[in-house]
Amino acid sequence: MKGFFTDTTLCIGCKACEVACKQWNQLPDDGFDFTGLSYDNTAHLGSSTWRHVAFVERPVPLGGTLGGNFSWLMMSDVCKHCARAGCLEACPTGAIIRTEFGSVYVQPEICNGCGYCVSACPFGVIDRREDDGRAWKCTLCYDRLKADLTPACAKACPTGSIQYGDLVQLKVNADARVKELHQRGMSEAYLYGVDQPGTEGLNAFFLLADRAEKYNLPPDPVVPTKNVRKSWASMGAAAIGLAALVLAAVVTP
Amino acid sequence: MRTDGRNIDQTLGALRGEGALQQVAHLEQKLPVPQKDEGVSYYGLPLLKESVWKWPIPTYFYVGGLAGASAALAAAARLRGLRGLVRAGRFIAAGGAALSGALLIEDLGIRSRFVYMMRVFRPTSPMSLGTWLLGAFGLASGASLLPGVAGDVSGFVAGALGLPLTGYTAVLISNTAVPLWQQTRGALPPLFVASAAVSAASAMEMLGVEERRVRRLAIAAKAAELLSGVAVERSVSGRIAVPLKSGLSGALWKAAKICTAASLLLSITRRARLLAGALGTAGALVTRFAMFHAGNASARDPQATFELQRA
Ligand code: SF4
Ligand code: SF4
Repeated sequence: MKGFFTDTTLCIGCKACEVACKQWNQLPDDGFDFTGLSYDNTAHLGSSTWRHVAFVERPVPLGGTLGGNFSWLMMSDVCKHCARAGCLEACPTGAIIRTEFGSVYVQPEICNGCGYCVSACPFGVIDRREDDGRAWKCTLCYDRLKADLTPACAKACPTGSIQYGDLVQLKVNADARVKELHQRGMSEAYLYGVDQPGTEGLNAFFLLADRAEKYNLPPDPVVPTKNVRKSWASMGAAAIGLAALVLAAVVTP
Repeated sequence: MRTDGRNIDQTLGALRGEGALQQVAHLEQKLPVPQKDEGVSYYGLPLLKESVWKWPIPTYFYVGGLAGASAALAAAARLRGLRGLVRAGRFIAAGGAALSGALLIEDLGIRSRFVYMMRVFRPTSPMSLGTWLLGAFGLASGASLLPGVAGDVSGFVAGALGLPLTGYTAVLISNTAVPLWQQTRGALPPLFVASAAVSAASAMEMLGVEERRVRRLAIAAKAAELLSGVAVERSVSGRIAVPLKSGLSGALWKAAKICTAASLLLSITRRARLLAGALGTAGALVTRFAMFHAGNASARDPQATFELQRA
């Protein structure tokens, strides 16, 4: 089981990951926009943007660091390759599969663009490209993994903020890193997505230094399929009610 | 040099990347728009992607519901030998099933790949189950137009399959991360089922078959639709409830309730049968559009998303 550990406290916002991803995967650029939102001109993950660096400017210092009343948090966001993935469980064509590396992969030659995965992802990651018709997202560099290479973003990251590897080892590293940061006085550091009950873990997890909402992450994501039983039950009851209603109205003289 | 935003010189590099086959017609992709937001968020940007579905999907919710409930109605009418109602119900069911298929295919990103829907059977995906259900219903409702026993047997099968067809679409949208759809997961299926019953009853009102029995059904169904609408309103909370009260979705929701209430009144007082049917139909159709747009609005609101996904 492979995955990413993204340590946001090491991120310097250089966007090498965004560029490496676009280049390796031969994705088109998205046009060149200025959003006015700090240095974030990408704004979100999308069908042709599979890494996105978020920039959070805060009027408060980061624990254990020098400097005045300001801190800058940067996070390279990516598909979480959820252990229970909303997109995969929703996909009606079987286009989305779990690979031998534990990642979640969309087969472009199967996807028919029904768009269900787009609404089923609790992180707003996967998107349908309208001029292409299909849904796209991070593949965890499936082609590179097959050739025993590190994913392009992790390879390009100059600070080690994006670490790729075996999930068990990554979690050990992550725990050690949190301890180290706490010792240094950054008491706000914590791991996001480890043993995450709603999705039973994320294969791409993060070390964050502020509330998840600040990074546009859901605080406690839940795969929609976990809640759907109630919906089926209520539909069953309603359908029985409909049968009774129709019989009562039509069959009685 | 290609001008598709890749800037790859094909004399130097082959297009073999995972994203190389992504078709590009316009480089400019729409950026998420910051929402009015006072709480903690990332510049008020939406967390979720709004659904990519367009008008055919809420229209299908109506048409599929109409077809399913009409098949059930025709099956019940067959027990009593009510010829006119059986015929009308079966025709609407078969026609509705065909139209449903067309609407669903229309909304696909790659229409020619619609058969891939039947590549797998995936119980975790209400869309997969629904595709198989609609497929079976289409066959049965089509065969119910045959004369004699074959038609009758198929008619009963279609009637039975029609029952879940009226409500699975609510399960389908509640199995998403869209805050309003997921939070109404218990209340939405009864609304869709009741709305489908109204659709069928209203169609029969307009056709003028079996007036007395149809009116009984219409009154009960319209009352049920209004009541389950109240249940939907009660099941949403905080920011997630906002789209039902304001904006386009709020206006649609209000219009739907007014249409249904007015048509209920007309059915009860036995006046203007045609208008009662038309208003009931409008109410059922607009209900689906209101829920569709309300879901999209809640997906755009980051605070609604945080509220839903906060333990
Ligand atoms: S983050 Fe979204 S797109 Fe990625 S695996 Fe999870 S559900 Fe699928
Ligand atoms: S858009 Fe494609 S990948 Fe997404 S659910 Fe539909 S078929 Fe599956």
